[in-house]
Amino acid sequence: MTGWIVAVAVIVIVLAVVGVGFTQGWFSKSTTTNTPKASATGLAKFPCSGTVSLTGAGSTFVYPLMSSWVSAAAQQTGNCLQVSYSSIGSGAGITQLTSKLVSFGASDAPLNPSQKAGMPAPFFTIPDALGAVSVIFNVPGVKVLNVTGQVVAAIYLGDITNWNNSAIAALNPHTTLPNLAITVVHRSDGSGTSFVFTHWLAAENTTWANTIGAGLSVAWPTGLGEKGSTLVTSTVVSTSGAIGYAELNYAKLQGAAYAAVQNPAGFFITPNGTNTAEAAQEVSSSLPNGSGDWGNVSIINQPGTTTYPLATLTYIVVFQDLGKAYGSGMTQTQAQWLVHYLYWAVSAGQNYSAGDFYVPMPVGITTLDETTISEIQYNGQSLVTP
Amino acid sequence: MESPGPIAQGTAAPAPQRDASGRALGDNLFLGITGATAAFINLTLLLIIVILADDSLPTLRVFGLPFLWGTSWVPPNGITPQLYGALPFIYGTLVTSALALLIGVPISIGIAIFLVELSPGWLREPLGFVVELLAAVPSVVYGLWGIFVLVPFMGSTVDPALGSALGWTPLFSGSSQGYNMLTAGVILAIMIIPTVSSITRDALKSVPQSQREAALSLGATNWEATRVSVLTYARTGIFGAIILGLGRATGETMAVTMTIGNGNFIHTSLLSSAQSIASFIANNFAEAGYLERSALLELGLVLLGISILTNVVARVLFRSLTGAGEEAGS
Amino acid sequence: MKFDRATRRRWKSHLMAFLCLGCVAIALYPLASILYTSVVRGAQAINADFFTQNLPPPCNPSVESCVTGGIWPALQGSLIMLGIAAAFAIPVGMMAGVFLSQYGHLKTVQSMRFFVDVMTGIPSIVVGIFVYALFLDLAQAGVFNTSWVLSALAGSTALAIVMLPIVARTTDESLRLVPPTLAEAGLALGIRRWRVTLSVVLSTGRTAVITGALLATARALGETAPILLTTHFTTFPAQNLNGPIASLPVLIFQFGTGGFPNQVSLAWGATLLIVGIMLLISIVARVAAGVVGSRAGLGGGG
Repeated sequence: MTGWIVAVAVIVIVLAVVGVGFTQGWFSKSTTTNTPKASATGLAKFPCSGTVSLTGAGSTFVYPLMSSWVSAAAQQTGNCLQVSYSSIGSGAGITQLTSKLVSFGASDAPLNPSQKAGMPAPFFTIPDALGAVSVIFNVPGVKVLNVTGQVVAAIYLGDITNWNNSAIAALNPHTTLPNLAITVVHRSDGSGTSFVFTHWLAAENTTWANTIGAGLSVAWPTGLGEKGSTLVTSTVVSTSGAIGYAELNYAKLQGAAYAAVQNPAGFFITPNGTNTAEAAQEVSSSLPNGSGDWGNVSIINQPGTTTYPLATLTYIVVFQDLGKAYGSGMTQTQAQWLVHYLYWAVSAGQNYSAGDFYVPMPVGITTLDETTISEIQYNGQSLVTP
Repeated sequence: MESPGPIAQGTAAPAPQRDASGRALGDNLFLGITGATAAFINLTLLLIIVILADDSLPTLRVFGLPFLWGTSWVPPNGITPQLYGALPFIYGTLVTSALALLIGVPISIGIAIFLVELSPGWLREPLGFVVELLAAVPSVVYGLWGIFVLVPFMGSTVDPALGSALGWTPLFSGSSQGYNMLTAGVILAIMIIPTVSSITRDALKSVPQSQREAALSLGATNWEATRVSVLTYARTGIFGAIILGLGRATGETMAVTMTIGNGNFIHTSLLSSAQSIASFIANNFAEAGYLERSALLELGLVLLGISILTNVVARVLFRSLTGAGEEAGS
Repeated sequence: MKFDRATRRRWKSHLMAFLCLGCVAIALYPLASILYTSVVRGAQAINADFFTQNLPPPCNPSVESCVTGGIWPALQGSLIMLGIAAAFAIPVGMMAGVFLSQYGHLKTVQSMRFFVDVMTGIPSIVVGIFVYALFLDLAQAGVFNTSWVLSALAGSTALAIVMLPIVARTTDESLRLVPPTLAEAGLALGIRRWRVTLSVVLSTGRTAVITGALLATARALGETAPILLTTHFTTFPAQNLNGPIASLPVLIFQFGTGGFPNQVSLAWGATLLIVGIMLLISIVARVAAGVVGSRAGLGGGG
């Protein structure tokens, strides 16, 4: 009868109302967030009402640190500022920024010419973190491993296929390497970590430079392709004989062993906070300003006896005028809070770096960033910076 | 269900009276509204084809038909020009689907035979229900189980065994720690079992008992009776079930992307990583710029074409079974 | 014992019967393994916090102190998108199913039914890229701003498109099982056709129709690929229809493959939750549907 039709209609309307109601926060519960690792109260001093939602996407390299920032930001603003970061790889982050699907992009590689050509509006490049790309490996019974770029490139070329190869053994005279096939693991997506790693391989091995080259994604001659640093690391951890590369945080958090890498001075360095920080010392005085060309900025193979050779900065990319770029897609409040968040991240946010196995950026870079961020505008108006 | 009363007996349904202006209107309104919703569904399918085709045009203009057999996929990297080719993914899809059918179809037919002919009466429905619970598991859960359980098992036990026994053949050479086409094929086989077995079950049930009895009366054993009379009689339905299973296997995304190893190349070995069309699209769509996204949409169009083709073939087969009446399967 | 041909044939028959039983066992083993793994790895994650806390940042409890967090944003996100998708797909699908069943004697309608059936087999990833391409084209044409391209609404749209042909087909099949004599009796009494359809046919077949809608919704719950491509994942509860939104299947995918122990644990908890819900719905559907059992079963989900 019409009776039960009415019943079905009522159920359907209730479903729709509930669905929409959720998005309007009618049923939102107050949830607690975790305690911050440093006692910074930077963002709490700005008034924030309701919720302000920002989206970012890109680098998996910076994902663990970015997650700490997101958590802290939410906690300091009483869950008002909610940043949603998608860890989809540097290439994907810039693509989404180009299509204006996110408020900021994150990439470990400065924009290359074709990415720059595709950007619909002027943008700033803002280094937000400093970290080490670790060479991770899984060889049963081996905890310490020395490698050089030359050897790692040969492995990734498929020329060295077993851990007991003489080239590896020569670097590790005090370690017995088993007869175990090497499983190469690399990124399958456009990755800033790959960018840094392949640049290093190209610098260390001429065959690699001539045949494969460097970039966000290359034609890997061999190995398993995994999407994101998290999958690379978890694959290495679960596969005996595997070798891979990922930011140090992933190695630490997932219990992967990482190698001591030979630097230009000839010493084998295991990445830590100090020797990675040294890599950024030289460069901080010669960086371009925010709107300049960052294509030549690189901190791999820096001089110094104790410097780790595979360090990298990672960058946040934002449009210079948020109102003009997004139109009705971003409100002034959101733009203001993006500025607050970025300013906080490059300054007080660096206190979270050590806890997440990154390295606080040198003060010189933070100062440069603060200048750049204060130049971000909304429809020609400057936004408040502390 | 009930007997028609004396009023309806021998009386044809009367045409709608038109004495009140609303009467025919009510029927027409009903026809119009419900017809519009059905048309809307058809139009959505049409829109999907149109949008995918329209957004594939940039790729078609640049690469034309050779896109389908191109073997390189090179997104913009500032050095070499962009180049897109679909062959490795078509290959991966075909191989994993073929594996799924090779492994899954015999098992499904075995299940159907057991449920229809061999199982005790009280066990039939509950067991059939439990087999179909395999369809209740979402693809992503299959993928997660694959990563944590099946891949380690294949990588540590099955692959090395196959490698040492058959490693001299190009089909089983090399190793990839369990992330390969064979593992993906196994998971796909598990995923198509509920579909194929349930349709096969319906097909076997529709075989008249007389067929079986005739064979038995001639002295056939149970198995021979099943093979000669029942399976042969039901072969159209079984074939339709296989086609539907194929369609399902080609479209699966998450379980495949989590176990296939994501290697954009064509290797003959089943123990090699590979990429299927669906898994490649899922992996690369977020980061694709304009032309690459267009290429991925064209890949999606290819996938849509495969799924429509398999669906149409299966339904035509079912229709030929039962005429214009009800269909024998989903 | 003679090994003549007759004996061999008999033994072969027994062997084949045994193999068929073996096939059943082979098929049930993965199901048992999945259930077992979900319970063993997922049960420890489920507590009150699991249902109320926000998603935690990546962490390893053996390296540092970790926030356990919970899956509330993903649960809420799935409910929102399912609610909106069902609110559209169930009424529209049911009406379409009514049309297809009642006017199915017409040739045109038979073609329409054919293509609705074909549409149920579309891979869900194709639906995902379609919705993305459509919304992006519309945003670039200026119909709305880009914040709607990766959004709760886009995800809901994709799920609605997945559900629509399924609801239509199950409604159609359920109503076709209602004996035509019932409708004819009504018509013979002079009742208007639309009235007969609603009060008599739909009323008789309502159990099967509702079961079909329930199964379509359950299937949409497990769909990952379409929402992976049309939503922006977040660790917070969804705030707007044009904003980021989490969901259970995407959570399982991203947290489960991430390798961070606290996140992996939550992924398995969510897996247990989804598998439990699917089992429950399958049992309810089987009990309620009866005749429509195997055809209306859950199938698909990419």
